[in-house]
Amino acid sequence: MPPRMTTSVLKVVAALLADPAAERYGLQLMQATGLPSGTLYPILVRLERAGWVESRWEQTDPAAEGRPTRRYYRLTTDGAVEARREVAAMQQQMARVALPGTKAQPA
Amino acid sequence: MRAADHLARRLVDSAARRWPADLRDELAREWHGELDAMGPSWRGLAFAGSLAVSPAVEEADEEPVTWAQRGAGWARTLSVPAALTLLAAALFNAAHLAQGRFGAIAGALALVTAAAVMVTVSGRTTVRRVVLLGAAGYAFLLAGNQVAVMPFMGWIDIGPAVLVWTILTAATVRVSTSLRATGRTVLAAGAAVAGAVLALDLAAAAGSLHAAAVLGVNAASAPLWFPLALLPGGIADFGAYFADGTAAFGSLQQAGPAFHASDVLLGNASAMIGPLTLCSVAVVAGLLRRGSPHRPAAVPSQDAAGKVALGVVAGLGGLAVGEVLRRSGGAAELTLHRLVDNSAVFGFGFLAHPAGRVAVALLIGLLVAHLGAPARRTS
Repeated sequence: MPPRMTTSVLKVVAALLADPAAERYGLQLMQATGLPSGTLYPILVRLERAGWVESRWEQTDPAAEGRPTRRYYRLTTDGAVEARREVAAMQQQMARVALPGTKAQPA
Repeated sequence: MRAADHLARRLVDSAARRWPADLRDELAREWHGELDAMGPSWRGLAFAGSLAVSPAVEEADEEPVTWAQRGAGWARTLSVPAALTLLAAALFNAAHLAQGRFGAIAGALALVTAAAVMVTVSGRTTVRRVVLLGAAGYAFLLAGNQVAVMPFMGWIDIGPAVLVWTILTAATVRVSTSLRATGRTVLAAGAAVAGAVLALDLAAAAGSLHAAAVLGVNAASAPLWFPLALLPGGIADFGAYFADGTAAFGSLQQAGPAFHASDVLLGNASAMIGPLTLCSVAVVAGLLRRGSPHRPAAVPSQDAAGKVALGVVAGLGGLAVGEVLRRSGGAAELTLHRLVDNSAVFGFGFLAHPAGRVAVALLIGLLVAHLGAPARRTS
């Protein structure tokens, strides 16, 4: 089932699309989107259920790193395609809404 | 910061428990990891607090719940305890009116009838519902005395009474539920009744200590204040005797019949503890009913237009009842007489304002409309 697109979901998707190959952990995504944890994590779960996002735990030794292992998220190949389509559709919608109000600049 | 970190971890654990079972362990691990990365800080507390107050994600096979659906659920959750409190207060007032106009026997019969009504409308009893009932009771008693006709109905009186009632009644629900879960149903029923009575007795005492101090009544008689507050005035007199009938306690400054300090104390305690007593009846009835077979909903499900119509009719009915209650309150100068014979009608001061009457009508309309809609099961 595709995720319901809301402003918050679009923010997360856009943040991941900025570099689709990059992996990001929760705090990074909170900083990138400005969303609180209580909004971000449900979105990540829904995106993962929809197959748009995949996650993995990093394979490091917490003692050696001096920090706990992180869970990384990134877009799947299909997810990146779907996400681009949704973002483009939203941009088109916004453009249609903005156009009637925009005044033509005199040449 | 250590305390903030401890609190943040408790909040994260609590939040994780609300999430679907297949997700909660991994998410708790992830969130604890993020807290470790942030270190003890207010940022970590905000991170955990946001998770704690946000709704958990739905189960994998469920549709996401929209904010409109969530709002409707909250309205239903909040309107039931608010309406139970209003009903309890209205019924207790009716019992006092019957007592004042037709005598003690009529008052007692009306009180028994009121208790029977509360048993009938009582729903599922949970700790959360008790806490919401306490909050509704506090708001009702404080707002109800906005047009002050009772001498000791400020936050310093109502606060301790409602707090004690809420804590002890919630504990009673927890204990009774645990006993029933282990198959000790008779003990569970006994604990429910005994706990409810103890909660009311201590709540009446806690809510009247300030009055006792002002009136000069010995607090040693406190355990008797609850039963005496339910009885007609004059059965037991104690404390100072005011032969000239001049009262000047708090907002009550008037002349009337000769009275004892106990008359004022008990009449005032009755105002607080009466609605809580009927709420306790509903709570205990809900606990006792847990073992019985499931009852079908009293109101059948209806279409949207039917629900709206039902809600509007109920709201108009609420306006009419509010008007009756407002008019039956009587003038403040009658209060001393009614305190002395413990038949005062009280607690609906907010009905003096049109906004208060509209709010009550809206609440009743919403509740009745909601009753037509089946509740969404989340567990």
